[in-house]
Amino acid sequence: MSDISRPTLSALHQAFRNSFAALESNQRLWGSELAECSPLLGSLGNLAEQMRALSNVRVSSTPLGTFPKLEERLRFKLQEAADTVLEKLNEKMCRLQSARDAISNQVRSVMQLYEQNATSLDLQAVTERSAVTPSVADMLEWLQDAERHYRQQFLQRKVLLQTLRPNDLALLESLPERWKSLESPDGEQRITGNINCPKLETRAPPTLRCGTLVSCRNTLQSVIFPGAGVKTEEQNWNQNLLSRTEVNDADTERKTRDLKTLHQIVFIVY
Amino acid sequence: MEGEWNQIQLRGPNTEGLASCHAVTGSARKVRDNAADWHNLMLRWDKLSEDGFDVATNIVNIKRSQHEQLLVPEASSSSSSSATLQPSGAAELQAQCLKLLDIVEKMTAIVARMERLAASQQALRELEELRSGSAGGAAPLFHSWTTKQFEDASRLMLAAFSEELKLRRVISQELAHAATSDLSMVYLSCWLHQPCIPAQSRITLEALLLETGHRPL
Repeated sequence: MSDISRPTLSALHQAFRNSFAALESNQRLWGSELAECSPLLGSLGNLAEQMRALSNVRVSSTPLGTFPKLEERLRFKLQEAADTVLEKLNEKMCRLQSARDAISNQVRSVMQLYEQNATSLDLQAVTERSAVTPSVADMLEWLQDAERHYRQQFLQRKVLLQTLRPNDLALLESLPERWKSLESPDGEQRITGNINCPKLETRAPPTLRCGTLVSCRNTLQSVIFPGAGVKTEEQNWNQNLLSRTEVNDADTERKTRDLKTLHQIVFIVY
Repeated sequence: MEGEWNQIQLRGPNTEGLASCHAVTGSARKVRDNAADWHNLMLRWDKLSEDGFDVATNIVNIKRSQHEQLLVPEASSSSSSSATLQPSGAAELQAQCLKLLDIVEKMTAIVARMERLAASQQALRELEELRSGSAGGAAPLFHSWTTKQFEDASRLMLAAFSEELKLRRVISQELAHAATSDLSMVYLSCWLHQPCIPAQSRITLEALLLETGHRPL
């Protein structure tokens, strides 16, 4: 590692620490807000069911027929109730948006920091990882993955809610299921790192250079990397990774899959 | 009982302030008590409506499970099981229906009290007119409303609740006889959403409470 890269690296590491901490707290916020949405979706679905029943019944030929304009009045009340629920849902969406924005801003600031210093960082400094510190490239990638996940999740849900129309009963009825189908436990797991990876011992390099985190090495290294690392494949990735700063989807997909083990460690270390 | 009706007066935040700045005696005092009664009666109505909704849901569920029991033995052509299960279900259905009728009876009592309140407002208007010699009474009793406006507000709320009560009577009588699940659902949503009570009646109540000083301006 060149002497110029050292201060830059430590600044980057500090930024990563902040970002992952922010990511974690916003991820919790996101999760709790999203959990509060599902009862609201349930009641919207139930209201749709009631509207459907009302449409199926000819009120004038039932004992309720004696009440003037009962059908219209009930329909109005049902729509009013649906409006109230949608309003609450909108509040939730605003909070989800603020969580997403917080994540995006964090990631953007780290990316900016990296781009400003990209010239002073040589290839080795960026791609070098150790038992206790993932490489800068890895961490940038994880942050971008997380940012993209929340951005997509938010947009999909927002679009779903925006397609609702008061007279489109079928859509309102299917809303709870559609909402549920947007859940992506896989994507969420990649971010929280709550997974058991069977490939743990077959990979990762044994070298450790990052001075600030050396103290963790002895304890972590023996636990996490008992075997010798497979280096060739990894070097290929690093080459790939550095050829562009913008990461494309299919590539990341593959890489995150392989790198998710280290993800957990970031939370431990930071 | 009277204490219960007037509970709103005891817990309003600015009640004391209002009592000191207005001389709440005579007609004004009566109007104020009536407003509190309106509020408390509506609260009781809501509570009963909630309880009634649970009972009504039970009735629909019992009906549905009975219906399923009837269908299943027919398919498997063993009528003995349905014969044993039926009576208990019927008894439960009967019990729930009686409960619902009981709730509707309580609601009838509430509407009867509302009628008395409306009559009282009318009498107050007449009294004030007689005393002042002009239509609608002389000076406003509180901030801006004349006794005529109090009477109109009472009438409006009474009309809404009377009609809703009629609707509830019909529902309580017909719910257990609904032929289709859609019709049961319509009965239930009628009970829940109270289509005969427009949002306006709640707003009128709030206006009444504001005017009489139960709610801070």
